[in-house]
Amino acid sequence: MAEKFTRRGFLGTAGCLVLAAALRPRGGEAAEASPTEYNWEEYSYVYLVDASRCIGCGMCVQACQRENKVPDGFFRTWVERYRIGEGGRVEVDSPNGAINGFPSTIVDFKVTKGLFVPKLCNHCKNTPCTQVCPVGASYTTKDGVVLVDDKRCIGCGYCVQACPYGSRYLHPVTHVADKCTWCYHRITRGLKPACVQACPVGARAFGNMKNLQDPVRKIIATEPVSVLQPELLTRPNCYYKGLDKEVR
Amino acid sequence: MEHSKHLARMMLLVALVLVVFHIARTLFTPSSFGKYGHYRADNVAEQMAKPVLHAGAASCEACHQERYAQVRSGAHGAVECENCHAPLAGHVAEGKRVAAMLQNRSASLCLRCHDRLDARPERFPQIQVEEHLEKMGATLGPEVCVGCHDSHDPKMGR
Repeated sequence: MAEKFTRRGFLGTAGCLVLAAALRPRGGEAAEASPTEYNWEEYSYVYLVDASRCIGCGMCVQACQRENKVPDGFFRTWVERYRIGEGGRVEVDSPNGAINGFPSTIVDFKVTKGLFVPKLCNHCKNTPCTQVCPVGASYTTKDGVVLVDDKRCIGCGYCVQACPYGSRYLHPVTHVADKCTWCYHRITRGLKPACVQACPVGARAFGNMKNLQDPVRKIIATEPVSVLQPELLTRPNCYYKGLDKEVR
Repeated sequence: MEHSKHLARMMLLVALVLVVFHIARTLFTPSSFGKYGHYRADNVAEQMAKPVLHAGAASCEACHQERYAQVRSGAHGAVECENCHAPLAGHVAEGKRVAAMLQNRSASLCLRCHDRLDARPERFPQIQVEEHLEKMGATLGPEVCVGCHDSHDPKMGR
């Protein structure tokens, strides 16, 4: 007990501690990434919205909320209604994200064209949201899906501000960032995202760019498609058909 | 070198800070962090393990073959059962029926798709409610649509 506290003794102990910490087994307790034989190297997911087909029923929003237990008043996907008249008249609405569809309200100008535009996370290739995350809670998987680790997120909200598409929100109960996952639990089991499955008119489609026979890949390769706000250089993995210039 | 002692103390302090930083970093970084990138690799498995609630119409067919065939051959053939009912997970769990399936007979459900809206594509079948009811001699009620139409095979005169 009477051992003298020496510099040598202290440095020795400190050195041992550092060594022990450095040699601590890492990654050993990491669960295997796949419950099945899923190999994410074989996938590069892509989403296609055909706005000209959308009827604005909001079944996609309802399915998303039920599948992912999205809290009331918050949306991982939503539908916007654009009513456009001559002379630059535009009316845009999305009552409660269109979770119950749209009411037949009247606008004070003659509507010359109208369309419904489903929106969701664009799962950008050059994503602004994950860049600003200070704790590595927001990330992109190898198969191209932008996810949030709810155990790691500190709820600072930087990513919510960084997303130019308004795809993220702070969960009112867990107080961490939440967003569309393209139903990662479904797509990795070979199912479609809940919103795609729920769409009765085929306005939403989901595909894999690494599958040469994929019909969505073929549409993106051979037909006119666009992305939202291309000038931001976010390079979305969510493509649109049948958009109007008024859609942002 | 009259200040060598001070220098040595400074060096010691720096070394101490480095040691504490390294230990703290090791203790507070989750074990799977950095395995695939700047994130916790275990979260990928956690995301994948979430339960699937919407099983899709093909799953409904397992018990309701006749109904499935009827819907598929009619005008609502592209409509998922779970859209108008509810997710299958609330009705069947581990192959066993756990609760009755929700039945929504309300006109507001029908009108989500078929109410005439100025933004809705022209080619999609839709009605102006008052006009349609007047023509059919019906009065608006909460379940007025299913009074004439069978929601599983809605086209009249088939």
